[in-house]
This record gives sequence, C-alpha cells and structure tokens, in this order.
Amino acid sequence: MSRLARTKQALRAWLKSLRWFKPGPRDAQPVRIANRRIYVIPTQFGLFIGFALAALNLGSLNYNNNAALLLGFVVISLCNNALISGHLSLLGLQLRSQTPAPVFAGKPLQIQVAITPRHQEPQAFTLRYAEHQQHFTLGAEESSACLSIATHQRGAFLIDRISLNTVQPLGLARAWCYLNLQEHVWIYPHPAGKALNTWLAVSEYGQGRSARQKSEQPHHLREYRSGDSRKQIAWKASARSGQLQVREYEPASADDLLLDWAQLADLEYEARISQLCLWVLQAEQKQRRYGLKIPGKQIAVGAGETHQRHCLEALAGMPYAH
Amino acid sequence: MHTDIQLYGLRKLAAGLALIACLALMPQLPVLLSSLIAALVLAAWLLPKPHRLLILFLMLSSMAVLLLAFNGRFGRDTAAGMLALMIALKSIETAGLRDLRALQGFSLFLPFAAMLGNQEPFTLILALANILFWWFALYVSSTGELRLPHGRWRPVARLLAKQLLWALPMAAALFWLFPRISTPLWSLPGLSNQGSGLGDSMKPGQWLDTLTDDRIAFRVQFENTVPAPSERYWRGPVLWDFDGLQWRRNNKDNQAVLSPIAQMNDKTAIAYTVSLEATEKNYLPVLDWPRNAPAPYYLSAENSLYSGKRIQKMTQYQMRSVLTPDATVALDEASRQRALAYPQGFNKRTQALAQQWRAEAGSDRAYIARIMAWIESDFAYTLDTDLPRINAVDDFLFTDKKGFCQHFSSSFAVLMRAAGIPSRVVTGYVGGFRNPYGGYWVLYNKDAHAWNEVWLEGEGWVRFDATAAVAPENILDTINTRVSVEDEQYFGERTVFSPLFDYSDFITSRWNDWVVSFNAERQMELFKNIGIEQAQRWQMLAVLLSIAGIISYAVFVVARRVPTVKHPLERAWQKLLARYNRIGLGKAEHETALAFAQRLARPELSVIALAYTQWRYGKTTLCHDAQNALRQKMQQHRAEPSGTP
Repeated sequence: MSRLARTKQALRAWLKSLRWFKPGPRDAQPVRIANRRIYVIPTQFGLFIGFALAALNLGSLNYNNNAALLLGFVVISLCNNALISGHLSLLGLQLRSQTPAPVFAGKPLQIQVAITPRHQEPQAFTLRYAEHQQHFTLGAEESSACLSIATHQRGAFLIDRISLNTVQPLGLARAWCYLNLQEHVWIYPHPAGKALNTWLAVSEYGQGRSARQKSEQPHHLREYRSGDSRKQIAWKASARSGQLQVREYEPASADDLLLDWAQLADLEYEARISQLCLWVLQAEQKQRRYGLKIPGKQIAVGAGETHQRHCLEALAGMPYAH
Repeated sequence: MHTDIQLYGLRKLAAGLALIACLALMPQLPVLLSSLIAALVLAAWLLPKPHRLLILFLMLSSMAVLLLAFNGRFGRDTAAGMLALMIALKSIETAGLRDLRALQGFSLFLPFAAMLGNQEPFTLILALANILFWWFALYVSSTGELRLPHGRWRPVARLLAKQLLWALPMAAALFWLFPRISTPLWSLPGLSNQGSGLGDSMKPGQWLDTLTDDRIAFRVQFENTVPAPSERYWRGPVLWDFDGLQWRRNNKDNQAVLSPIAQMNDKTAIAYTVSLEATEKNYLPVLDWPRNAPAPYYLSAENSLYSGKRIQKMTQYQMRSVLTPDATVALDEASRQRALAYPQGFNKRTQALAQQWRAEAGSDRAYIARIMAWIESDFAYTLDTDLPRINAVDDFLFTDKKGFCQHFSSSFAVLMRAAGIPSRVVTGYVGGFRNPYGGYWVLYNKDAHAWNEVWLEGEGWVRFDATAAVAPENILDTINTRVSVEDEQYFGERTVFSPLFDYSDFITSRWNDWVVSFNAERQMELFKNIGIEQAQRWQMLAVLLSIAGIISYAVFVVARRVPTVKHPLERAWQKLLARYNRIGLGKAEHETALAFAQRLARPELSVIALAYTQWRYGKTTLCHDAQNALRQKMQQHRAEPSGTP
C-alpha cells in the first residue's frame, strides 16, 4: 500500500471516529431527503478543474486581462451552479428500503431501495455501502434499485447506513445523502460438506424409549378413543371441555434426525458448522424432522421455515474459533 | 473497459472539444499551424487511435512545423501555438476516460491564451462557445461513461441555457467586485515577433508592411473640440540620428525629462482619451504637443509619451494637448548639434542645393517655403519604390522624384540640416476615420506616417509635412475614409458592408471602455460610489462574498422549483374559473366543480363541469378531438351572472 493510500485510510478512519460523522439511528421510512441530509464535496476531477481555474484566473488577474477574467468567472459560476444542481438532484427524493433477506456466506446480500423522484429529468445515481456500489438511472417514475453487498463471513451483520450518490450534472462534485438503516442481518454459514446420509444421521435414540421420552413436547390434544392409555389423558383439559381429552405425542419415528456437533469430531471447526448447515438445509428439503445440538445450545426436533431459521441463526451465531 | 460504441463517441467528443477549444486562438496563429491543428483534429475524429510510435512521430514533426511557422523564434504566441498543438495531439491519443478528463482540464487554457493576444468581443464569443461545449462534454461524461442524450437534445440545451443564464449574475458580481491587482506580480513574456510599425528606427522599406496593414492601431475619443484634419498629427517616437540610410533614436531619448513640461491648465488644450491596442512597444501616441502625462507614463524630452513597460494589451489613457509648440523653450547645444548632424560624405548634390538655396533665400522661412513649393510641384506619392542606394537622398530628390512619407521626411530633414537648420524626423499617425456610431476616431496601422519638425528661433519646433504637400488626400485622410472638413461626412470607397463593420467596431470600442479597461483604479471608484472610501481588499471580499452568497441562494431557490406541467384542459378550466372570479362569482375552495355549476344555475356551465369532472376525476378517457371540443367550449364560455332569470 502506498503512503498516500495509507494516509487516506488513516484520515478516513479518524473522520469516522468523529461523532459528527457517525451514522444516526434508523430513519423512519419513507425518508424524504431534506437539505440537511445532503453533502457536496468536489471529486478528484473537480479539484483538478478547480486548480486549473484558479491558475487561469490568477494569471488573468495579474495581467488585468478583463476578457479572460470575465470568461474565468463565467466558468467558475457555471461550476458553482453545477454544485447547486448536484444538491438539488437529491433534494426531495423519497427513499424506502426493504429489510434484506438473510443469505449464506459468499452470496451477496441484497438491499432493495425504492426511490420516488421529484422531477422529470432522468438522473444517474449510485447506491453505495462501503466499497459496494450500484449504478442506476432514475426516470420520471418511482423505481427501485438493488444494492448487492458481497458477504464472506457468517454471523450477525450490521448495515448501519447506505448512501445515495450522484456526480451529475458535470462530474465536478459528488453530492450524497445517507439513509440510516441500522439493519441487523444474519449471514448464515456457507453450506458445505457431505450430503445428508439418512443412515448415518439417524439419531441413536428411538430404540427402547417411550414416545414420551422421545419428544419432550406434547404435540396436541385429541378426543379419547378406546384403547388409549390412561396416562395419556389430560385431566385438566378434559374437565374444562367436559369430554375426555388425550395428549398425543409425536409418533416416535425412527426418521427423526439429530444433527449433532459431537458426531463431527473429525472435521475442522468451521467445516463442522458448514456441514451442519448443509444438513439442516437438506433435512428441510427432504421434509424430515430434525433437531440441532451444538455447544451451548440445543434445538429440539422440528420442521418448517421457522425451525430452519432458528437452526441457521444458531449456527451463524456460533463464536469464532481462535 | 469501454465498449466500441463508447470509444467511438469518446473520440468524437474529444476531437470536437479540441477543435472548439483551438477555435478562439486560431485567428492569431500562423495559417500553417492552424491548418495542421485542423488536420490533426480531423484525424482524431475520423481514425481510431494510432500506434504509440506514430503518435510520437506526429508530435515531433508537429513541433518542427511549429518552429517553422514561428521562424524558430520563441515567444508567448509560440507557447500558445504549442499548447493548441498538444491539445490536438491529445485528442488523437484519447482512448479512455482519463484522457478525456485531461483534455477537459487542459483545453480550458486555450481560450485564456487567446485572450492574452486579443480581448475583442469576437474572441470572447468564440471562447464562450468553447466553454458551452466544454460544459456539454463534462455533462455527457460526468458519470464516467459516455451518455449522449439521444433523443433529448432539447432538454439538455435548455438545461445548458438555464445554467448559463444563472451563471451570468454571479460572473458579473465576481468581475466587478473581485479585488484587482494594481501592479502585476510578474510580467507577460513577449511575442516571438516584435511586429512591424513604429520603432526606434526608420529603415528604408521597413514601413511597407505597416502602410498596408488594415488593423486598428488606436481609437481616440475627443472630449469637446475636434482639431481639423490637418492638425491631427499623433506623435510617436522622434528620430534624431541619420547615418545616410536609416534614422534612429537611442535609449537615452526614451528617458523621462527631469522637469517635465509645465502641467499647464491651458484653456485651449484639447482633451481626449486614447484606447491603444497592444503594440509590444513602449511609446504611446499623443496629439501633437501633450500637456500632461498620466501615471505611470511619462513624457520624453521631445514630448513623446512613453511607458516603462511594453504595451502588451489594450490600454486607455486620458490626455490634453495643444496644437502649437511651446515657444519659450530653448534648444540646448547638445540637441542642436544632434539636429544638425548628417553624414557629409553622401548626398553631395543635395548638400550643394541646400547651401545654395539657403544663401539665396533671406530667411529660414523663405528657404523652407521654396523647398515645399518645389516638392509640391515636382514630386509624386507612391508606395512602389526601388530599394535605396548609397546616395538615397540624391536619388530621391533628383532622379526618382516619387516615394512615400519615409523618403519625403528623410530628404526634407537632410535638406534642412545641410542648410544649417536644426530638424528631426517624427514618426506617428495621421488622419483617421470617424466611426459614425460612436463619434470616435479610428487610426489604423496604415495611417502610420513620418514628418519633420524644424527648429525655428522664437517659434520652437515647427512641423512641416512634405508628404502632405504632395498628396494630402493620401495622408490627412486615407483614401477610402476621406472626410470632408465641414460636416465630417464620410464618402469615397465604402461598400455595403461598411456600416456593419463600423457598428461592430463601435461595439468593440464600447467593450474596451466598459470591460477591457476596467482596472484597480476604476474598481476603487466603484466602491467609492457604493460608499466605501479607500476600500480595503477584505472589504471588497466581504462585499463580494455576501453578494455571491445571495446570488447562489437565489439560484438555489429558483432552480428548486419543480415545473408542473398542466394539461391544456386544466388550464382552460382554471381560466374559466378566473373569469367568474373577476365578476365576483368565483368558485369557493371547498366547492366541487359540479356544486359550483349548480349554484350558478347555467346549463352550459353544468355540461362543461360534468364533462370536466368526469375527465379529471373519473375514469372517462377522452379522445384528442373530444378534449379539444371541450377545451373550446370552456374557452368560449362567457362568465355571466345567471343563465335563467
């Protein structure tokens, strides 16, 4: 890294540490861009033009060359107007963002932003989050843009704010405004490893245990049928309804899976997580019931989208090995 | 990476930008160089980017052409030509955004280089056209891609016009209020060629270019009295020393005299303002006998106005002059000796004639009268002369008997000196053309002239113009701008376009008065008028910044408005309501169109209101004809109090 780049980075870090530059709390949406949210700063090209104009006007001033001065001042005023136009192209825009869906590490995180323009003129914008950016052109109608953020690591991800930028009309200055999101998004682990082998993964429990023990949770109540065990009768519920109710437990199926951390002792730490993640997905896909057991956390057998989400979030939230 | 289509557009844009940037400078460059630049830009427009080595070769050969075009001399104009060449070469080399950005930045320098050479409105117009195209080039490449506004040129043009219009107030404020520098921090490099015209010497044949040069030398605005044409002699460098071939002055003559002529408040003095175009020389032409020397200029011993620095741009100065020499001044001995010296070895016949005629004449005056009469009767005016030989004066006086001011003044001075009468050659301008729109006088380079001053005891330096005795029409009024003395009406060889040229010159002259000659002094006056005596820099800046802030805010407020495009039907309906409003029956805010129509109880209004409501708020879509019909109905509807009495 060159010295210039290092200095730049240090400066940027210092600026970020200032309170003034810190992202604010989440904006109430939709956000209407007001004057105070807009920043305008010259681009590199703008600085170049600025220096050129300064030199030219200094020369003209020195020779008191009035025609050249007049021309120079016209150019300066045009540039000044360009800055104002840049500011105005953001003013009054209405922004709405959608909470991004969680993704697996390695897949891009997508933030959808809907923008309502204030006037007819088409305008080129860039959505930006850190080094990720998305160019798009806003026409006369409301349109939406999707900013993709590449992900590398599992875990909870905070998107503090994204910015909406424009260098139009002349490319001399960048005008931007921030959209404070403060979105916490889960980045699930990258699913990888061996395919789910039902034989291997069958839980060791199931043989010789009662249905009750298999699954701690009663599933639902149903009416008493002859032949039901007396132990199964839910007396309190029966008293309320006036009919005999029986607790029914999930049928003790040998198909239930327990995805157990301890079973994967031969794998590396992250590889274990990836493996479990893959199995969770495959189990869900095969419409099996599955439970998850990882250090410090155990998720009971279940199925469905919510259950899957719980499992994936548990995996994503595991501490990193050192 | 750029796509092919983008690259194609990029090169066209770069070539266009380069050409328009060079345009303002081109009239000042040698034709050879201008054509080379045009060819390079055309190549950039038509051809893809050539190989590196070819570009290198092009650059080297262009530099050779540049040196050739400027005869190997280096000056301010050479540098400007080189810059223009570089820009043209850059457009050939352009293959990416970076190149275009560099071109956009550096091409800005070209119109400024053009202004250094020429501040006329025409140059500014060309430069302004360049700036507009520059804006467009920035606009289409602002995002880093080339986004040509296909199919929406009109909105872009409107945007540009708007931006320019909004830029003008700010530019004007900056122009008038930005603190000016009264003395330059560094001086301007000279031109590669010092040019023709008046100088510190008068060589045979040197003036031929000048006498056919149609460019303007200076303009004069007389305040009240305008001297007669035969009195309008504009004094330039005075030449003392003759070596048989050329007349010279030396550097000492350019110095200021310690006791300048009395700054007399002469009642008969003629007040006038001279707007002198850049000469790259130090002299400033003044009418005959100046009575003041405006700072920082000074008068030399022979009453010519001089500047310590060369005149490199349009310069204005106010003068007062009288038409008769100061008789009270005595001629010191050194000057007398100088004014009598001539090479004795040449022009023997002239010397003999002078001595004989002076002896025959009783006085200096009689001798001069005889010489003048002889010249008037025997000599002719022509620009077509042979190159002088060793006895140039003899040849002219006794063989050729024709020539122009240079021959006449040189020979006359020798005739005087040989007869023992102190004399000198004065170079300057005579004649001029009155601009009918501005009432000022224009003197062209071709009005350059040389005449003589003869020292007569008790009278001072008296002017004699032998050339004018021969061809007054050639000298006092140049032939195509002949002016009759009485009413100063011009006639002669004027074309249909002459009034057009006169008018454009009038505009240039006003431009010189108001814009080009604005300087630190006049800025001080401006601030004095606002009420700030002796304005300091910071005061100027404070005033400027507050005004710039106000203008910026005004632009912001004006630009912030979003234009609402109203449908013609809506407009017609609003107008109809306005008509009712005028007779006091306007629609109330809370009323719907239908309720309003019902209240007024006019059937046709109800029909209109119903149709309008259905179109505006309902799901009814009207075809074009139906819309027009409804609009017409609205327009024809007269507002009357009530339809059914």
